[in-house]
Amino acid sequence: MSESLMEVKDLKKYYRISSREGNAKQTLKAVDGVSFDIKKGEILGIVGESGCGKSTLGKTVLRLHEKTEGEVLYGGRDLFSLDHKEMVDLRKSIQMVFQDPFSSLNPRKKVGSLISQPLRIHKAGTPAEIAEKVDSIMEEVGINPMYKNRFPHQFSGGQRQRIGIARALTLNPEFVVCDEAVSALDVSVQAQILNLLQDLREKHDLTYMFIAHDLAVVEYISTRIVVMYLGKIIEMADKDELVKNHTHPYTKALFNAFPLTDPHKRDQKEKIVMGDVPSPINPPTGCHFHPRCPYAKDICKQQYPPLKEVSPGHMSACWLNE
Amino acid sequence: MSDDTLLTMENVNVHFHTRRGVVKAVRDLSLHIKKGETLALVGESGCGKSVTAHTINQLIPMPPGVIESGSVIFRDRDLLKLPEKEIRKLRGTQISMIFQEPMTSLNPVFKIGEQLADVFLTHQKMTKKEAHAKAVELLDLVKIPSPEKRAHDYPHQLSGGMRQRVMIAMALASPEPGLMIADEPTTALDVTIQAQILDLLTDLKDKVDMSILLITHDMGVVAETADRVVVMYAGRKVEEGTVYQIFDNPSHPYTLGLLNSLPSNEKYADHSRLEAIPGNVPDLLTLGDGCPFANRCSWADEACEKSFPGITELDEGHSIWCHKSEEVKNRSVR
Repeated sequence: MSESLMEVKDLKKYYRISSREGNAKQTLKAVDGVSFDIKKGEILGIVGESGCGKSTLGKTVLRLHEKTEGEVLYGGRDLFSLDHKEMVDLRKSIQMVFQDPFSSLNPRKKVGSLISQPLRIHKAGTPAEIAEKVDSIMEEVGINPMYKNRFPHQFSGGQRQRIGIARALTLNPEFVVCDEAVSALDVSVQAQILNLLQDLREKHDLTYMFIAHDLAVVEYISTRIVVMYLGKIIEMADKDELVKNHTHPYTKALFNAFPLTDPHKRDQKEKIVMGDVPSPINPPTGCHFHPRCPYAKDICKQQYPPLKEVSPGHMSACWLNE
Repeated sequence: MSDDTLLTMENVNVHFHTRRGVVKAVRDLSLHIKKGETLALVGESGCGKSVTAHTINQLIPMPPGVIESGSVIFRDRDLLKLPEKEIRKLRGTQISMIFQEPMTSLNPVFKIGEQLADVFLTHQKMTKKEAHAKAVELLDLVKIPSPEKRAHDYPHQLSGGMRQRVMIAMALASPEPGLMIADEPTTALDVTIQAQILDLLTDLKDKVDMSILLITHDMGVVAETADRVVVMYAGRKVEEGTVYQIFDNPSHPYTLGLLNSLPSNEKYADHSRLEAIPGNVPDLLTLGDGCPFANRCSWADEACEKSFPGITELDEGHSIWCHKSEEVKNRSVR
């Protein structure tokens, strides 16, 4: 469990965007100096609300986006220093499962062809071997190989997500980023897919980075959790530690806002956090959370708090920790 | 019908005639909403919860939709028999609706203050100035900061949460609000914003004395806001009860499965496998007359395939529609 698979060092991803008025360009700091590592075999959950940069982070660590600054070390090599050929080669072992199974599959391709595409691109075997592999992977994700001549629209949302997972797994990757992989699904189907992802992880020794806005899902599946707010990591710890002993006011707000499925507890909640998530284009000065934070002090408005270890393996970025 | 009932829906059937055949979206649905309560209609995609809401305020597109039979009695009038003109009047004054995506319900080229004032100008005798003042008052009621200033904003200048507040304000712009239909009102919102909106709805319900029909797929939202719950599956009502009855003693196999599928369920604190419901929601085009859940239910037998079960009353106000109610009852409770 201790060996690092991926190390992310001070990663930044900025976008230059035109502002509403005039031609002046503004900078959107989608990911703003994020450092963490992913250990082999763990499921690292990334949770946060819209605009916190979690999806951008997921894509940047796979180099689906180029970085602005920083490093992503995978097996000791910086992803961004690789040339095209080396990168293509590496893509076999780092894969992604997307949120929307409706838009991430080409509607004009048959399912068998969609699943075999990665194998054909990487020339991973003879046509007969590829066909055999497609059958076995379809079986594994719970789609009858009989259906390989069907088109994506002939499947339900849950089945399409299984197809998306099959595509990610054909090349036997070791690291998979799941970006809101179960968010579009009904609860009963979501549970099936979460089970499938766990089974596959055990069977193939996979490491997941699991990005989601749904705290319950992240809490259930992750072994370690990172909480993001406006491009920065504000807290991270092992799952149990984070659930029981979170210290950052935003993490508290998140847990508190999450609706519990027990009507008896509805009146026991602490006061909910007011205000909106600010725009990531012009985030508030100092700690980005200070305008919504019930505990904000003067220093919170001026300086961004450092991410500090509050207990072994538990990092939190808040001036209250000082 | 007791005096505290605001709306009674009886034996409603809604069909959609599509090219591929007839989709029976809502089948034999009866329910009632009491004055001042929040009734949650809960279920997964295609269960007919939105169609039910649209039946109440006559927003079913016809064709292809047809309300085959049934009645919806609201304040002593059958909504299904009212002429369009009367319905329009009701929609603006006594039955209001808020949707999942407030941006598509607001007109992007008018200031929100104007749009709110319009509701008053259309349905009540008022000068423009009075209407504007009323609009600002409502923005304040739904806790929009500096409402006087915000009234001059266009919808795109507001955040998703603020827009939903404007929609709620619009729903309240009536001298006699009776029923607010909230169709997935927080699904598009972030969780901290969702908590604010749910809080606001609960707060307002008491202040202005209205009932809420809350349509949602989220059991957490139900647990936090509903007084009573109707669980739907593939067009049918399968369980009904108070929020405590439903969560403390879920009794229909589907409700049980739904609650067991939630990763937040306490039984998964040890990270064990989720008890997912096998299979998928059935295709409404080919669904027969049996229990629609039969093909995913571990208790189901031939009887379930053949006919839809009658009511089994478990407790006062708590009912299920299940052939196997005895067998299901004798399982160990979670």
